[in-house]
Amino acid sequence: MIPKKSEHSPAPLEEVSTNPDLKKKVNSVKPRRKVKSDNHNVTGYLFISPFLIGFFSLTIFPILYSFYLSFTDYDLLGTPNWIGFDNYVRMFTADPTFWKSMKVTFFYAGVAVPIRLVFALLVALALNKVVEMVGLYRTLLYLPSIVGGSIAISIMWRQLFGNDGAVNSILASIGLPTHSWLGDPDTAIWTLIILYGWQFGSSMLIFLAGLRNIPNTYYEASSVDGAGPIKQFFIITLPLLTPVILFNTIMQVIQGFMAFTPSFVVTNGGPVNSTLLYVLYMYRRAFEYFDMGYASAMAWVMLVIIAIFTAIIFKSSPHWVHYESENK
Amino acid sequence: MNNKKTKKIIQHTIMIIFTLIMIYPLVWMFSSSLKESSSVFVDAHSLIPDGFHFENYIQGWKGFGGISFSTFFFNSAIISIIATIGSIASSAVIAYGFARIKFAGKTIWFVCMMLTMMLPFEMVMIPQYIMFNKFGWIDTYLPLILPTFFGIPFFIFLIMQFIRTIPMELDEAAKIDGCNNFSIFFRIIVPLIVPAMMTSAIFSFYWRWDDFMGPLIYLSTPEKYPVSLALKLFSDPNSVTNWGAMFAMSSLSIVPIFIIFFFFQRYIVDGISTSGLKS
Amino acid sequence: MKKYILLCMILVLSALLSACSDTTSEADSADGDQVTLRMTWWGSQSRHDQTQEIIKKFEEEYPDIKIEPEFTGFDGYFEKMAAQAAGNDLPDIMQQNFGEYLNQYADKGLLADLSGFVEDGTIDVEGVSDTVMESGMKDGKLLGIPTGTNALAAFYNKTLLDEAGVEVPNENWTWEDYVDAAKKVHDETGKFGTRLMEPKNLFEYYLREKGYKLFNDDGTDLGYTDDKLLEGYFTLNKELIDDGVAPGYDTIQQIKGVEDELIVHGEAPFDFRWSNQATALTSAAGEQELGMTLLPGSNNTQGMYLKPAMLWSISENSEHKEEAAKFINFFTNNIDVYEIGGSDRGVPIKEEIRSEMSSDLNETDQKVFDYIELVTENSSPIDSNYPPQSTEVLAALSEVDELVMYGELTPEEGAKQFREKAMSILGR
Repeated sequence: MIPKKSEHSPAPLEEVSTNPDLKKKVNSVKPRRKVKSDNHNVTGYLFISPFLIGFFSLTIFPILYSFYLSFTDYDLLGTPNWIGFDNYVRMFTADPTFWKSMKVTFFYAGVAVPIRLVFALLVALALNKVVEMVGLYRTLLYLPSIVGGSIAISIMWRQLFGNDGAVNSILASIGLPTHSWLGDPDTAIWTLIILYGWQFGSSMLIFLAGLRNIPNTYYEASSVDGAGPIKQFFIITLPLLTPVILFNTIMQVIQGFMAFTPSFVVTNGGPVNSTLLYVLYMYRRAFEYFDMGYASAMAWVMLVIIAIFTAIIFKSSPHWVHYESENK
Repeated sequence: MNNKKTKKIIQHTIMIIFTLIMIYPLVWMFSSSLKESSSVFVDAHSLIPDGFHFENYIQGWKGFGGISFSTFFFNSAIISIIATIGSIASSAVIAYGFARIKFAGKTIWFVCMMLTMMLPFEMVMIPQYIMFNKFGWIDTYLPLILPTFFGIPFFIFLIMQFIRTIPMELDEAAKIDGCNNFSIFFRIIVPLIVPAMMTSAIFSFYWRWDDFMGPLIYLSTPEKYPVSLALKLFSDPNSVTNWGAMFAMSSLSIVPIFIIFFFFQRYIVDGISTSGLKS
Repeated sequence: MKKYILLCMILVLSALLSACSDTTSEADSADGDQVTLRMTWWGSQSRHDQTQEIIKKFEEEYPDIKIEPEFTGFDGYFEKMAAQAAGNDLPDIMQQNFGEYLNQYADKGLLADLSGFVEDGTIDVEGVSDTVMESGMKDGKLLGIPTGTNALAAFYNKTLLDEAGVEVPNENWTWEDYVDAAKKVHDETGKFGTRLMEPKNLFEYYLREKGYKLFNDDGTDLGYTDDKLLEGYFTLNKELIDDGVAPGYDTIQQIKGVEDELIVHGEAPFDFRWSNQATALTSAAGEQELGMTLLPGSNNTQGMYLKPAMLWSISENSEHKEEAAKFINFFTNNIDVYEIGGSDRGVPIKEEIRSEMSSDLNETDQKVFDYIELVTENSSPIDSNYPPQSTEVLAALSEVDELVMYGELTPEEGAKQFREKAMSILGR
């Protein structure tokens, strides 16, 4: 199985990138491409047409409508009335809970996202090395991520971190002091952070797919050059993995800021709002406090925040993300 | 030789311990599904059930008002399979367009796509409901399935990133051989992004399977409910919840995702090497 | 090749799907003179089963009416209903929740006024007490018929009280009796003497017992002016926590559900909650004997009230209000309904039904029935003046309560802070 891999597959890759004749041919084609440049527009739009059709027929109306609602006093059941920027003003000047939830969310995203990413990457690297039973490990490690945010998980988690739960039993057995993890406003958020880290399976899977996409020939070539495993990691694995790292980072930032289920099902925001994530607060405002207009405004504030973070990551990406396709 | 063997044993021991910690909560859930419903919390700390109450499974499978879980599983399967095919096929095509072709306005559309991921579903679901209601799609699977055929931003972006790791020279060589963009996509790119597509398929299946809000809002007839929604029908915070049955069905609901994952993950492993570049 | 197969599959499946949606719409129109009603409720497995059976009985009696059930769990029920309201697509018959939900839907004119149906006898509520009927009234309109009644109850664990040598409380107990009993249990057994009272319902009871309301009549202000009241409430609980008699929120936060309450585990003898949770508590408590009595306070007759467990409402945009009213009438008056469903939706509002049922009740239900009977004689009407913002006000109260119980605020500061928060919420 393994020798087979290196035998044939990435060979054409090598050929393409090293064959001087081909390169020449490629260069000679270039001028012709420029002439046909408007042709690219047609092809490009053809390829993304499913997205455009969906965007204009299904996606854009709800989005614009929610933007409109953010300037109204919509209470979920009645007719929305235009109130200008009132919701936004109230949010920034007269709602301490808004700031509280913002703080909680920044802390949560700031800690949980890096933990999950690093964890996922390390496990993916480890799994990439283990050969026997790798399928089994991978499946078992992915399992936590498929129980999702069910009632079962909320009970499970409260059991785990409860006074007589598994975490405290382990601490007690090794002589460490036990703690009321969920009841202490300072530690409750950590149980959610651990939950987020525990469900690292999807990021891990993407890293794994990325690792598997790196042609073996690259490693073989560098082994011939005498590079050790550590050097290989830094000159081959890491650079070639950067597109996937970029993807995971951006998606995790988005998901981290929009996290909702964990605090909804496990702690319901408590104690003393110490786990009141932004989206949970928004959800309460919309559906429990009948304040949909305000909640919509909150959603758009969050959108701007996430967009800024995403934009910063994208802007920085040319400095650290390595695309094979844009090599030259 | 001996050294190598000990190293292997250590490696596996670490992996096994780590794996056990990771799946402890799942074992707990499964064990709870065998406990007597009313004692679920009384001996919550114990992993070994007081007896094997398989009647939880029988009781749970019966479902609600004559609609059994076989209906719910069947519905979930239909929704998840079609939605997965739809989202992967369309996302791959769109991803190729974004990753490989230069065209006017590309950045704008890409930004639009990214922005659609940054609004929580809960905030757009009311207007979405109004819209689908106007279309007459309420109480059908269309709101759950059709949108996936227009690409899912998460998968589009994911597949894009994989396409961008493929050297451009491949495309250019193929062009010289007379391929147009469509045949490049189908004959060169698709085989190379199988791992990304399979990863997406696993996620897509799971997300659809697990999705609760969508079915809740758009489906009314209980015969059409998927498993995710049916699981919530067990609990009412103010009256008696059949916890045993709920845990039993929760445990069962994981099985299909588990199977899908187990069979699809090999494509991630084999990935680039066996899907071949020859075609 | 594979791709073509896939494509074909997709086409076939989408054709199938559209076919599916076609058939349902045909079925609707083909029925002709048969009226189809949509009906929603939330609940757990047993309620879903029982309600389907009740519907079957109803359809047997009224063959020209067909009911399409749309049931869910409690999670998400009102989110779905909000979406349906926005789409002008509310079901004909709705299970509604008393309080701010009913008031919100009523304020927006989404619920039909049922008083006409009561007057012309379509819905027979002969013999239902006025206080019960009034709980479905808002601004002179009858917006829902209670499915059954509920009341706050002081649950006690008799086994634990006996162990501590503390007398079982009766309906004449005062706050002092409550505190003394709790302290004694704590001293004798080392366990908690009571469960912490959460303010959501209990502060309102505390106020009523002292002759005040939580909100003023038009819902624009708090119903009490002296912050000493809330301060007293906070102090009562805080002292119990400080003495170790009641658990703090760090313990409460870990409770995983009704079946995991301290009283069930024999960890605390008292727990104040809704009477319809008796079944869940009793079945989880196993061998231990639980009982229930009125909440403490020398004026508890003034504090206690009957609350609709839930209500049946008809949507204003329903085209078949009369048929829907017939169902509500059937549900309220037919003994079969209660033989199937027991007291799952609260204790029946009709005297005849209650007495007819009492012969074959199980032990727990019998206790609940007796208790409701006791409350009926010892209560005053419920306050239904909940403003739309009441959930938010109550959330603010919980937050302040947590701060006080954690010792971050003194009771005095807490009472003041709650008023400030409530005023800014209500003043919007």
